Amino acid sequence: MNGLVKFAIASIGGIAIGLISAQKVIGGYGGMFIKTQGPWVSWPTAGTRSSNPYVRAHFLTQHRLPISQFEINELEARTDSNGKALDSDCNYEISGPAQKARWWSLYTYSGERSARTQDAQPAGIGSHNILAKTDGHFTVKLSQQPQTGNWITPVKGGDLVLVLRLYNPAQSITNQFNFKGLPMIIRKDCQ
Amino acid sequence: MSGKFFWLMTFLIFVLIGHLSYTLFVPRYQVQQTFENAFGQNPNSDFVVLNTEQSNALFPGEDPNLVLAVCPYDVSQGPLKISIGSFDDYWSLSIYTNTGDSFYTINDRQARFSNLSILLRPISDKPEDETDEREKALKLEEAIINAPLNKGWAVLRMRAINPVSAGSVGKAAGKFTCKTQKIAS
Repeated sequence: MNGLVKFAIASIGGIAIGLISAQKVIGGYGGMFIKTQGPWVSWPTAGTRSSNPYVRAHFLTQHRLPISQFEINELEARTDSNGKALDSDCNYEISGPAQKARWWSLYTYSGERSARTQDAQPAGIGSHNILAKTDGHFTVKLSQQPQTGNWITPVKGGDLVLVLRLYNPAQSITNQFNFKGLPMIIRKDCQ
Repeated sequence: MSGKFFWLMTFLIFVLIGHLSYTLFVPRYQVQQTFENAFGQNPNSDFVVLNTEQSNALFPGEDPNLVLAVCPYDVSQGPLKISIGSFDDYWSLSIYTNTGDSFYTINDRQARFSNLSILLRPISDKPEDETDEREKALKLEEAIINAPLNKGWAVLRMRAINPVSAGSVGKAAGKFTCKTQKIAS
């Protein structure tokens, strides 16, 4: 009986710890398979031959098919440039130089991607429709209220995820993971 | 002491089982279920252009600037011919196995011909010497790709510069084909 109880503790406890540790690694905890630059996080081997089961699982558990990072490099920010969690009730200014890619887009989601409601089409902007300076430098305002210039309405509801996608990124990104020059995210006021 | 060691090892083995099961099998099962529920057991059924609801359900977190079209395939029924016609803006085609691995991606700039033709076949059909075949394929302006697994999905991503243009982009995607080639008996 004593042995049965010990076996139950070892098996149930072991499987639980195994599941939790897998979820943590798949979620990016420990930073083993991610690259960060300021608030931006990328999974640089996603969709490539050098990808591994954790990177693949990161996308598949979110019901997403990983895209080759040579085709589309996706970066996510859950905090501003000062490390504070993004909040859909706050106003932000996102600014940076021209991105090293054929074209790029910037858009938002609320909370976990998989929890998104089906009618919540994310608001977004891209290099094809943005107002930028002649050198490519741009500023985008993220706010629930209408703003002048480039403006994104964040999806309402607590935590916010900002996504920057670089389509056909430069070799400095795909080969050396050099993410310098990504936009800054500056928090303004909150409601 | 040996008893404690035995239980510690038992515990660690279950940690490993839980960790590997979740990492290797759960994500694959999830994505297979999602796509099979959406497209049923009806592969090689041409490109299905996704509406907003379908895009959100099948590709959560996908760029709203893109129109998506999916062709579920099963090359055990014969090789699959994918034809992408002329489209003046950005597009990319990614081919996945049904375990979620991307094994081929091409975009509008990489495609050498305005009308791209791809023949997807099971890896078991790959000849030992591909030289003659490559020359024939070049003459036919066709790319031959070996699918590592028989089942999967071809996903077409096309840029719509604004929501108004999404309809016309969707119509263009609907004209692209994805058909099983009949095998001569």
